[in-house]
Amino acid sequence: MMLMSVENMNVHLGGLHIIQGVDFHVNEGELVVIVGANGAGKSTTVRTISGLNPCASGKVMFEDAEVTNMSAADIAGKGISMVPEGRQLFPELTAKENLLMGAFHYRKNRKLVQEQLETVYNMFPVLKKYEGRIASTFSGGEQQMITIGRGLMSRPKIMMIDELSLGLAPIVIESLFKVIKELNATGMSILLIEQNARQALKIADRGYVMENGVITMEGTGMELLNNEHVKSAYLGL
Amino acid sequence: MKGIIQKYFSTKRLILLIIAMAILIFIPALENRRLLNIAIIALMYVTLGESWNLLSGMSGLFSINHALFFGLGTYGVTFGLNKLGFSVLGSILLGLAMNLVAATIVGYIGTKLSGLYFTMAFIGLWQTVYTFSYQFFSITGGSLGLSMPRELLLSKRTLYFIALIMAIASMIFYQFIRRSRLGTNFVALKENPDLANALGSNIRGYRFLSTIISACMASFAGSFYAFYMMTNNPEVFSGIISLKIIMVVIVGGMGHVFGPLLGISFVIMDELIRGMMPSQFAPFSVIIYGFALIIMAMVKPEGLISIFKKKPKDNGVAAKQSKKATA
Repeated sequence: MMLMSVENMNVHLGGLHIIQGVDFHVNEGELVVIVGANGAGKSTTVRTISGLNPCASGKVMFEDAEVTNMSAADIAGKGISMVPEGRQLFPELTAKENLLMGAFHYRKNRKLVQEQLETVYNMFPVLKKYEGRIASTFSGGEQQMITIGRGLMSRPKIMMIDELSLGLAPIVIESLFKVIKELNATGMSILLIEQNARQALKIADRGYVMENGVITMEGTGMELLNNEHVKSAYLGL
Repeated sequence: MKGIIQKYFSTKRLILLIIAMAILIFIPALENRRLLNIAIIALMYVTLGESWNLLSGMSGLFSINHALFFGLGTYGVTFGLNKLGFSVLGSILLGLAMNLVAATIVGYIGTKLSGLYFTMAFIGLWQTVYTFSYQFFSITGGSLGLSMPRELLLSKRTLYFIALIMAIASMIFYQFIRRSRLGTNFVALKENPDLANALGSNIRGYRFLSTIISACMASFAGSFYAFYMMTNNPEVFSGIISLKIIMVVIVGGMGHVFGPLLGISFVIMDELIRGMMPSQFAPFSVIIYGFALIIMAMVKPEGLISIFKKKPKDNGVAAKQSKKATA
């Protein structure tokens, strides 16, 4: 069943036509990857879906309802969670406070918040151990864990993760991809934006290739990995 | 109860705080009028500092004319008592109401604009009120001001204790807000409003709320100042007061509950220098504390609070341990 779909999306930013009619969809429980070079419009796509950029034309459908150009807060409340690029945290807040920021739209239900916090702590035990520490004192990998945890705190139906591997050591990236795979195995739908095409496509159910604001290719993860064009352009083979 | 105290203040801090309080309580016993006056003003600046700290240090909305809220509190009391014949409580509430109106305007601007634009709009509103207080003689008393009824004259000792209670209450209030979910959201919208918005936080509402809370705190300090001066004067809106409020927090440490408490050392120094100099040289005290500020900015850019912060050595060890835990 289709959970989220983007139909003919166009986005203009600063006078430039960044996204030029993009179509893609994510089915329930699927792990979809969008790969592409710098400046292809991957991050803009995700920001537009979460309501941070205005969408000039086209539609974003989520659970058979249109969410195009709704306010970012409402979209988050509907169950679309975004993990932004570059480990964006609130550096002055503690790890726990950062996680709780994700649970905004159901903050009144303290019991549910506590339950969700335990779930996140089970996934990343290191965060429970240092929950009172200021976020900026964590290492890069741990900061990325906090952002993923914070995304999970909103009890989303779909998680959009922007550049999971940006600026992290290979061993950390590997363990984070493992976490994403496990998360997907529990039934969470995931839309992953990646430059690290090889690792991302390996775990993906389906993938899209984005170039200069348009989707140029789509297929299962394996299909794309074996495609000659993808090989030469993104895998360096 | 013990748990609550430990949540807000560590034991070491609590002991320091008790010592400080003990000194503060014995100041009136010295029977030195000059010292007492300085102490009253300094304590008032703690309240004002916390108010500014909440809006600018915690929520990141830079209020350049905080004296606007302070002055409205003063004018509310004098105007209510002198012109409208309100009771003391009524006139304090009048000051509060005037501040709510001002905070609503500023807050509305704050939700639409941010950064420099917010500051510019703030200056506009402040200038309007400042000019109004000078020009509309029949309502505001112009530069002569409105005097308060004589029977409301309080002894300096009483004023001192009111100022002390207000300063402590504002510090506790600040820390209470900071530790609550409200404070988490305030800090979040300071550090990354876009991200807070994407997570579902209602940043407009929080900006609005932060302005209103801060204005109310400053209003109480302003009302207190009316009882201290027994009159009003357009100078309560002056840029010098705004600047002092900002300096108190920046010297002490922005975004920290004890920042204003350490920062009043700046106010005390200013008052002492003025007292020591021959009267015709008093304006030159500005030069001395100007130098002190420059040295402060170079040596302790994070404010005096950084003296009490943990040494970076501890952090290094903790980071290493956490790396082991991840591996």
